[in-house]
Amino acid sequence: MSVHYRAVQWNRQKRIYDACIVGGIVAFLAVFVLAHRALHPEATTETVLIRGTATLALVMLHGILAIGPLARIDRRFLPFLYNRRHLGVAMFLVAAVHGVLSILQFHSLGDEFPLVSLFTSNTQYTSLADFPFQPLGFFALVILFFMAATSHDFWLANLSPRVWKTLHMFVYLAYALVVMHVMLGAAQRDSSPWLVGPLAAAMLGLVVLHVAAGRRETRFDAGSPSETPDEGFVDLCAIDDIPEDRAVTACLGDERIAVFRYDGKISAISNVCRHQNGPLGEGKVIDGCVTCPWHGFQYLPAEGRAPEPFTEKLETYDVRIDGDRVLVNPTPHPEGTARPPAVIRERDVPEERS
Amino acid sequence: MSVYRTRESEFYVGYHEKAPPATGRFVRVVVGVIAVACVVVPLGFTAAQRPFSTATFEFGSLRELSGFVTRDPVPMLRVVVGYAQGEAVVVSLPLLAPGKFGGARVLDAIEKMIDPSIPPVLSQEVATLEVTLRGTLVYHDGKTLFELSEGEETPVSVDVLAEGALPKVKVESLGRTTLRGEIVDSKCYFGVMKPGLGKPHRSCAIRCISGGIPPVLMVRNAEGDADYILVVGPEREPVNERILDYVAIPVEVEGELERFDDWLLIRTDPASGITPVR
Ligand code: HEM
Ligand code: FES
Repeated sequence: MSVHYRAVQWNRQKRIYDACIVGGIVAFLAVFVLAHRALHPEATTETVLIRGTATLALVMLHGILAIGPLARIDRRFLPFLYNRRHLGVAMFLVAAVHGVLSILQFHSLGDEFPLVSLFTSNTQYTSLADFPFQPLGFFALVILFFMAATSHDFWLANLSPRVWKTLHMFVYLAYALVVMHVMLGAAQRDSSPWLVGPLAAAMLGLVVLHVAAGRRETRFDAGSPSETPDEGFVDLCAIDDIPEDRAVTACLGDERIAVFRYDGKISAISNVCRHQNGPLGEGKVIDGCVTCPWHGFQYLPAEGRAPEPFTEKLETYDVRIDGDRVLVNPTPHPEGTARPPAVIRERDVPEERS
Repeated sequence: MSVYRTRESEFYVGYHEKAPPATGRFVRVVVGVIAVACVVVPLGFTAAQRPFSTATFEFGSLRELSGFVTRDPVPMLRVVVGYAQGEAVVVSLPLLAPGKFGGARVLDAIEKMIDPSIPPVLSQEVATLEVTLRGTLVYHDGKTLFELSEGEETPVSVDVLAEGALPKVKVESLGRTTLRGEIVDSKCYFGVMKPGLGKPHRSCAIRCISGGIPPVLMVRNAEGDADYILVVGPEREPVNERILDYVAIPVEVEGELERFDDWLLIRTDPASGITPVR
């Protein structure tokens, strides 16, 4: 994961995923072109391609933005998240075809350099109704380009996950620019509700999904333990509340802590995956390693670090068992500090469970 | 005590060979839904498209047309298509160049190319030449334009005509008037692009008109039929650079309306004669 980088580390599921992306793109564009041939034979090929790639890119962008909250609401969407960056790169390429064709069609072969013409042909920058909508699409495309170009883990490691994550939050700015691009452009051509209607519905859908996913998070944050600390230790839950090889996640102070039970032991580590901040507490212990639910990065829970040769490190926390209760000290140890796990003795676990 | 805990028994790992069974089933259903959307969305979007105009650009098919070239009011090839009551019936084809340019630059090139024994043929004097030109037709709604192919290819033949052999231009003043419509670039509107008008096409129309393509005021009557009026300055000079701000938006144009052979034109001073209407 972090020792060396290959262009893409292929595996069976990734290949299926990418085949689906390519198949979907081809099918969408083929239907778009053939339907125009049948229903609008007068349409020019350039226009059909410009609109087809535009519509497809817009649909893909909505899908990309929906995957995050969907996966938080229902974990069965996680396979879509795993290779989302491939979808992102594909969407950028489709949008780039639209942008390049538009610049060729509307700005090339004229008395001005096309990229200058893009900004200077329509100069009504102070008007809303006449606002030049094409530069909006251009800036969205530039953002999408940077995200596609830096989507590889090479950049993630070299930019640091925080910078990378911030950069990738710009997708929302790109989305806003695209919406304005459509509203101030094509939507003014078609007064029919068929462009604006679905777009508005899709925007609303995205907002609802994000709010729903966000509410799950805040409910969780608000519902965190408030027991009186005992020598700094906080009573978190019963041993049996933690399923074998799984974790409970608690928000103590500012920290989200994932407390894993595995192999008769309990360890507590930071909940935040060093890859892209995935929720480790929703992960699983596989082969003795905590495995992130998002892209499968692995960590040794008692060591607070990824197994050799990988180098990612996590904060660790002290754990104590008192009767059948699990107590955690919310003061973090620096990343990569090994802490002995609390060992579950036979009598700590009640025999009968109801 | 409320802590968060994952309840699912399945755990998906992207780099494993297969997804767990329930997750796999779910993903297949969602992929099926997406596959249906890949057909339904483009179909729906296509069905909802506004109809496209029937304007035609005979891309790839070159024709040779013979006629008389004039630069007034805009570069045109005047083609005699027949005679009525002993008078020539003329169809005027505004001339275009490849790309976003008017025909003037091709005429300039032709003039430079012409045999030096022919008297200097600058601007209106070209009108005394009968030429055969090669190019591509652009037509829609009763109007035809001619995109000249560039370079050595364009002029096929040039003949000097005797004085009087030229069909007279019929100019008729129709008086001062105000018209409401949209200024379009004639090349895109009459065939090269669809849609060749309106907001999405605005910057292209500006580029084209700036490149010398004749601006045309499109005026729709109550029945939805359109009249097309060439927009020129008070002395019939080109005003392309001065009307760029008024292109592709609803405007009112005030000026002298004239019939010029088979075209209408309006002579207007853009600064005072053209106003956007909202
Ligand atoms: C350099 C960048 C871009 C340029 C020059 C550009 C230009 C244009 C133009 C001229 C149109 C109107 C087309 C027509 O009416 O036929 C249009 C429409 C559209 N653009 Fe862009 N665009 C750019 C980037 C983008 C990006 C990044 C997206 C988003 C993914 C996008 C999405 C759309 C959509 C959805 C439409 C409406 C489709 C339709 O025509 O019905 N554009 N764009
Ligand atoms: S966030 Fe990508 S593996 Fe954890």
